[in-house]
Amino acid sequence: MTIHQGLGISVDVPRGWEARISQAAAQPGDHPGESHYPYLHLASFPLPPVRAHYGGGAVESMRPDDAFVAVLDFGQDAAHSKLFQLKGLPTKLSRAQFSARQLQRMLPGQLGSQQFCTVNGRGIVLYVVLGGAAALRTKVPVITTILPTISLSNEVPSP
Amino acid sequence: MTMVDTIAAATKPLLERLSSRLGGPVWNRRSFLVRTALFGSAVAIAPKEFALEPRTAYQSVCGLSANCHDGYTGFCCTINGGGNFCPTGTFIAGWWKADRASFCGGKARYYIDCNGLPNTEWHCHCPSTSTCDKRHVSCVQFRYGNCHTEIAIDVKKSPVVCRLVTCTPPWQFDPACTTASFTDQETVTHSAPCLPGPNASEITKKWSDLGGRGGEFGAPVGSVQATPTASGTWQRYAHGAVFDIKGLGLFAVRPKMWNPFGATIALGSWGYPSDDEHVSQDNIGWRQVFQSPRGAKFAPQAVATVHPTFGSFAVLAPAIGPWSVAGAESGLGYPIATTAQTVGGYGTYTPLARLSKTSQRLLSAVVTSNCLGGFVIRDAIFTAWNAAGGVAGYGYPLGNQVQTLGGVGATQRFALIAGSTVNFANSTTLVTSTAGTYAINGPLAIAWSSDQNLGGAIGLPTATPVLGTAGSTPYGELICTKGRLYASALCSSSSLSGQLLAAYLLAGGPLGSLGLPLTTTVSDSPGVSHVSFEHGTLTATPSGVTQS
Repeated sequence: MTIHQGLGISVDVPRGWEARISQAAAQPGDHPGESHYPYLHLASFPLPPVRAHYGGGAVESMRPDDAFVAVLDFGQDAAHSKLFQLKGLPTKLSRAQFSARQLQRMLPGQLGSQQFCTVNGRGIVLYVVLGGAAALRTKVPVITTILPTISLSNEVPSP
Repeated sequence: MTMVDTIAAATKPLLERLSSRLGGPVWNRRSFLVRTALFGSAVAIAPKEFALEPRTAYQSVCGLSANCHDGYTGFCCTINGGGNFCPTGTFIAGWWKADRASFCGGKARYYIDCNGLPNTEWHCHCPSTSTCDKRHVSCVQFRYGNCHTEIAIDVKKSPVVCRLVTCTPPWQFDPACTTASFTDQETVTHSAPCLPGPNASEITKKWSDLGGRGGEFGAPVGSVQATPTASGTWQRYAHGAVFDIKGLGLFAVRPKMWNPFGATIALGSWGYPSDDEHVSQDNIGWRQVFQSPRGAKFAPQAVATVHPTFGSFAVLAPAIGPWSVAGAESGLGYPIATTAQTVGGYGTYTPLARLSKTSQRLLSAVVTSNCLGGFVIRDAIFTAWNAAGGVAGYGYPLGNQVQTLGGVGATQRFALIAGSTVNFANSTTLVTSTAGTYAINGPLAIAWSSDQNLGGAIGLPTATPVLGTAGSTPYGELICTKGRLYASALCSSSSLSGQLLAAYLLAGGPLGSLGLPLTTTVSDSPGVSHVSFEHGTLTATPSGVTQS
């Protein structure tokens, strides 16, 4: 395992996995007030340089045995709201939590899981995509070992 | 030359060759326009794909991944009668954006998910549409999570039914959306025939953001027009209009305002909207401000209001200023008729009302005159002024009502106007207190008003002034809470109170042996004062009153 950290996020990355901690830069066409928070992408496959927050651009190339994990910060506004009422980042995932329809983009064979929670006063989403049913057996146990190593600081860069 | 330039240059001749795919050999005027418009849209939305992949221009209007099994959700306007809004039974559940979108003039374009509410059974399906937007409906059980976080529904019962698009930031579109921004550039080409194409006008984008053809505005009526008195354009729709005015901005008149006021707005006599319709500060009704050019600037010309009880009326200039200073809807209330010229055309009259806690109408008005300005008439003084005939009775206000000394009452002065002349000499002062509301005229009004700042010594009137004649001399008598005022040709203002007044009344008052006062109460020394009358003098001392 190697420790990957930055922008207030830290994670132990297993061998063969790839992690990226990013924060979108303000774009020329942004409207005033838009907030860009840090996010973590983890994958069992090489991550392309350009990815949507929920994995667009990456999930399309997943093989059945691949897994993609996104941990997204929604800021303090979302924290403790009804949707984000779960306290703490989930540390376990079960097969039952995955569905072929729980995906930001429904692609054939893929399975997804999405959970909302509050960590250190910030709204957080844990989103996992599996390339296929095979990853339920091979990758979900690995993800379950990764999740407890993810730490999210309450001191994050300004949006 | 950049990579993009290179691709563009390489594909251009190819695009021209492939333009033959636009249709059959018969090109009448209409089909030519339609086809060339589609061609332009297709090239602007997805030039590489249109040029290099086997698809028609019409398919390219919808952008990439437009088929049912491509994994993306269809646009609401495709399944919602052309309406770019969340259908009944859904809620705004989240948003993302794509940067540098030609649909939004090169700025960010926002995609807003409409997720189903659980009281409806949602079935994942391919839409029955003849358009190229064949993306699936109600399939994805997913939430972007940055809108309406107060709603936490099992996502299995709350799929993404459809998505709408705006160039307006979602947190402005719906305050329940947060500013937490997520990007999916893969979706930048996604569109549908029921959405504005690339490089649409600001007016068209605004109309689309507010629902488009299937929304509350309905279809365009006629074409975009230049505004007659300001630099700008506007577009009329079946139930509204959108204005883009230099110096004011881009604002819409929605059906709530357009239906009652559209005919007037279309004439241009109110100028142009300077904000969007919004809920008034008192959270009861709605308002929208219209401004017209005044030289190089704009000035408010009308405030259109809609109240659930009072209806739809407007406060027009010059009544807007006094109404606003008095708190507008939160202070005086809403107009119950639109500002109108007074009889004779000397000014304007705007009747206003607000509801008390017991739902009683509390009436007031703003009355303006060309020479005196605009003032508010309210509460008991309004009732008395209105009952006496308004501007035809007591006339126009000379100022706002002011509190009397001690704040236990209020007073306001009025005068009739004829031609360009204000009849100050015969003005009427209305005074109100718990004792009632009374009108005072002429010398008595002047005397009462000058009495140590509005009845300070003599108090507030408790009865209508008495006008009589003592001998051959006309006089006026005003009974107040602390004494009485007398006015006549012999003495313009005489104030009597306490034991001097008691002795005068005992002597019969103006019709008695002393006759009318020649002076007001004169203080000679501490505890000693006197009043001179036609037929004697009363002197008050600590030991009593003597007559001489």
